[in-house]
Amino acid sequence: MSDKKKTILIVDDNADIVTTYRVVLDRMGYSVVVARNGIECLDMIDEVKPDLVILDVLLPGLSGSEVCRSIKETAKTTAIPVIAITASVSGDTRKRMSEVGADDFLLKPIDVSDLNRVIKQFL
Amino acid sequence: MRFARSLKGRLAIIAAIAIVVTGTVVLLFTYFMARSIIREQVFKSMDGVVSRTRTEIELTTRNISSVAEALAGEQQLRQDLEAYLAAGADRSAITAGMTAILSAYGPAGSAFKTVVVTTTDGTPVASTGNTQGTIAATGTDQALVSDLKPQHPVLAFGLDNNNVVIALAVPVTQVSTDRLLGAVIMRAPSPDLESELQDTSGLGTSGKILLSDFVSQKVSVLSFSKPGEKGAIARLPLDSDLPPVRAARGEKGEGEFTGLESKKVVASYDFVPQPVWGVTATQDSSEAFSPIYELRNVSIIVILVLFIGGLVLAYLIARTISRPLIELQKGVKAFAGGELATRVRISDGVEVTALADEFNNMAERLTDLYENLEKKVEERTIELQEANARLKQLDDLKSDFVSMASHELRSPMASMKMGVSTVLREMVGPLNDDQKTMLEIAERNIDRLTKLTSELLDLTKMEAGQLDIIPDDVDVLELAREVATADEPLAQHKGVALEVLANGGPLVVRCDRDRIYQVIQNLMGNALNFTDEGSITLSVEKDGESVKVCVRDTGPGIPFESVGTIFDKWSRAHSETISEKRGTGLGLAICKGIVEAHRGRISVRSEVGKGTEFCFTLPLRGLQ
Repeated sequence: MSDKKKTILIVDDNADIVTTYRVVLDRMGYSVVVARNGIECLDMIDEVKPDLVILDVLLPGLSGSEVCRSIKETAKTTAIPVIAITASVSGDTRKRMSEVGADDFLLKPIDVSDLNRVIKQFL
Repeated sequence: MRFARSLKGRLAIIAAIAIVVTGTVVLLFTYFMARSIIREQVFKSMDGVVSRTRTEIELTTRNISSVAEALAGEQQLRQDLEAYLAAGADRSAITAGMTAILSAYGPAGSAFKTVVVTTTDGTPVASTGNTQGTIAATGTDQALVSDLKPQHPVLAFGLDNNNVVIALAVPVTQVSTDRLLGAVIMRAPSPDLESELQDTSGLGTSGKILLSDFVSQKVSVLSFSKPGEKGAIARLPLDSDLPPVRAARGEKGEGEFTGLESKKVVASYDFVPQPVWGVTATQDSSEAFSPIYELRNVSIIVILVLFIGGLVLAYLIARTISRPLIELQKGVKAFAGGELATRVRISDGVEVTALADEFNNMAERLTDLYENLEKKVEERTIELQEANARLKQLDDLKSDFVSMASHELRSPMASMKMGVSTVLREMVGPLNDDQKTMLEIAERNIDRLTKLTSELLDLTKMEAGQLDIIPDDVDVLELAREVATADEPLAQHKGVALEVLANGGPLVVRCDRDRIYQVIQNLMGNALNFTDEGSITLSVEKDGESVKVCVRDTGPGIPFESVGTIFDKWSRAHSETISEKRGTGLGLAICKGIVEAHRGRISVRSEVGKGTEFCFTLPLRGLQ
């Protein structure tokens, strides 16, 4: 663990899930910032400068893959790891997210130990 | 025969009929030609008779005249008559010489029967065999003398005991002055002329030969009705137009006349200058022209026969043409009427038979096509039925699956709910805030899942037509108040006014209490979910034969494009914008199913930014 708390940006529109992330990640020792949709995420990412983004693929408005592409194509943010969260068991979503630069995937429902393991890979 | 049966052959026969008609015309032409020729023949034959008779008359009269002229030229006779007149009709002036002369010309010495010498007024002076006695004057003699002129003897004919007698008056003139003194009248029978007049050969059985002569301002006509029968003398007026009169006037001609003996006759006539007589040959038109009449009658019969025969023939031919065509037409009609087994059998006609054969071929092919089509339709129908059955199977499978899954999901969710709620209520020990928060989230989502599960089950039942409706007498006002009471805490919590217009006496409708409760609750739930400020109004009222329940809110409203599909399953009006308020998308679809199962109607009115109103009706008579 470094001197400063690492910041994780959660992009999800479900309030219950966001609350759960907050409680869990706070306990893990991370600082949590929440964006309710893709636009909000892209608006705040420069200012927040997160160390990691947890991105729900199914978002209202701007879709998860578009948000991911935007992050990875912008020079300032391209280095930020993006973990895509998907409810779909089919390989299509995984493949599409991989193409736009997602660094790892988690399938709903999320096991907290899996979440921990994936985050630990990057932070 | 083949030719005669073909249309071509039949047309040829029709042409033949046309020729028959032409033949008729030719026949008529021939008839008129023949008629003309026959007339010519008749007149020619009559002319022959007239000419023959004329020759005989001339011969006879020439003989008689020469004798009479010789007698009139005797010196003694002329002197004695002059002396007799000079002496005042003194018969003593008649000399023996004159008597001797008369005797010499008398019956004993010549063909003359009587010889009489008369004065100019016809008074007899002397006669053969009676030169001394008185001789009675006869009318005939006076008539003869009255027409007498010097140098011109007068010949007349007459009958004596049915024998033709010719009377001749020869003028006697004074020797020195040539003055007319009197006449010698001689009478002689003329058997030759008589037989000639009776010889009507060439004139048929009705033929007659007439002699005519002017006598005393009249025309005397001698005729014999039949050979060997009595002759007759008739007198005709001078102005008559009949052939004997014309002949006596000096005319020659021929033609058909009516009036002689009141019959229509054909006549030929001629004038005989010496002795100024007329000769006429007649024959009854009916006899003379009988060949023409016969020809005419035969022609009429032949034409009639041709005409009738032609008509009958044309009819028969037309029938042979039209009968197969009618057969064919019947066949086509029957086939068109759906009798696909119809075939036409025509054997009497080359072209029409060919046409019928073509029709039969066509019918055969159409029948094949039709049967093929039916077979194909049958095959397709079976395929469709099979596909349908498979779809039904799939649908059943889906329904079974959903139904089973819903039931199976309830049990684990029940235990989860039970476990979570027990811990959350701190019945097994105290919780810190984070623990409480996490368990609350878990409980909320278990409730959500439970709701979704039962909605899925309802929907599946609805689609399978197995939605259970258990009718009961329900006071809808009371029911609405119940829902409102249950929702009151949430409304207060959100700061939304909840108004209930459902007061007064019972409004009883026969319906499924739980289902209608579910509908009102669902509509109220939606209203509460989407309305953050303002008010929600629940109203129940009698509307004609129905009870009308409405839930009106002051929420964001439904976008125009979503109003039409709001009752479809999985439909969400605000899926993009207000994600946290997202329902299952099944609630309204289920509401619609329940209301319609009660024979009611559900509807929505909404205006973006102002609010939404859902209304449904239940018939007062409700379910039986």
